[in-house]
Amino acid sequence: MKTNQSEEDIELFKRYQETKILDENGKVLRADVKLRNDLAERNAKLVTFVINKFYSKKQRHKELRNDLLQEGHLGLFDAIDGFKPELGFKFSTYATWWIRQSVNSYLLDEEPMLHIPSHIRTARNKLFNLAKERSIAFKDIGKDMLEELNMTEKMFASVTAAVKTKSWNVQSIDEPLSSSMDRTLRDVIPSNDVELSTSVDNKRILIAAKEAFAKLSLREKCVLLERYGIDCSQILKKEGEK
Amino acid sequence: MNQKYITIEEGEDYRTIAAKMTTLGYKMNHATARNILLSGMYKFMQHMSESLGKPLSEEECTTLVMRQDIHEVLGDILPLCATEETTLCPVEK
Repeated sequence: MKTNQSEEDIELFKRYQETKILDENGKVLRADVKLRNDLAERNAKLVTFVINKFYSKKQRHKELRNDLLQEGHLGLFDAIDGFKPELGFKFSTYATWWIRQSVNSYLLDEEPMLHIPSHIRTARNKLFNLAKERSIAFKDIGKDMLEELNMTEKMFASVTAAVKTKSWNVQSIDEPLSSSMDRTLRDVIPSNDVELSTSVDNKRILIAAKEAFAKLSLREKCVLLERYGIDCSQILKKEGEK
Repeated sequence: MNQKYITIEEGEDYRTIAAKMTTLGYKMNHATARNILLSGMYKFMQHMSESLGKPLSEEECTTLVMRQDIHEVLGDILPLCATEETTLCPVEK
């Protein structure tokens, strides 16, 4: 296969490959770091190119540009470790994938405040993209569509659960609801706790009600209780004992 | 309008109450059951308003006794009066 790669580059990759010592899983245990850094420096522009091409439109990506460049370089190191020049492909073709993978992984880790496993996030993105392509809602995704994505029902259930918990939209309860409002989420969330004043009032009402009830005749008490389906034989028993 | 009977969603009707009271030794018909119930409620509300420091007039009590929503609300309070319950709001538990 004909490539535009210089002979010198290919030679360097071959030399680097010879210095690599791999473990049983194929991971690089030891290698010529100087040579690797040299290769990284020669291909550093590739990282900038990838970042400029794929991660320069969104505001968030612009803000994180320096971080993305660093992550991209880590991806470049992985690419250098894994590149096999004997296969005849261009290094840039292989490295672009690694750089993008590294940057995407970083972005996915950064996004939610609650940790969601990356495979769930990836699956969720695939499903959202599919729904967008078909112009359907997320909930309308059927089993036949899952087969297209090679996704199991179990995985789909996990993604649905993650989406339902709105883990992607975690918000601080002290954050203002909007830039023009002073009210926070804490102000609008209903509380199940009874306020002290309400609690005191409730107790006062109950005490007053008990006093008023005690003043009624036995016949009136029984009729009132029977009206609300309460058996008054207990009351009659108590009164009889008195 | 002289309304004589109040219907509530949950609870017994006057004929059932009259039958039960008769078995308990208080012989009465449905109209008597109704009269006792209304007078009982009247007294209950009067005593209660006095205890709370805001006594109701006779006219106010008569009007309130004939209101269905008052009957429904009393359905939440009266059962607690017959028990050893010390809290009114179940959320507090």
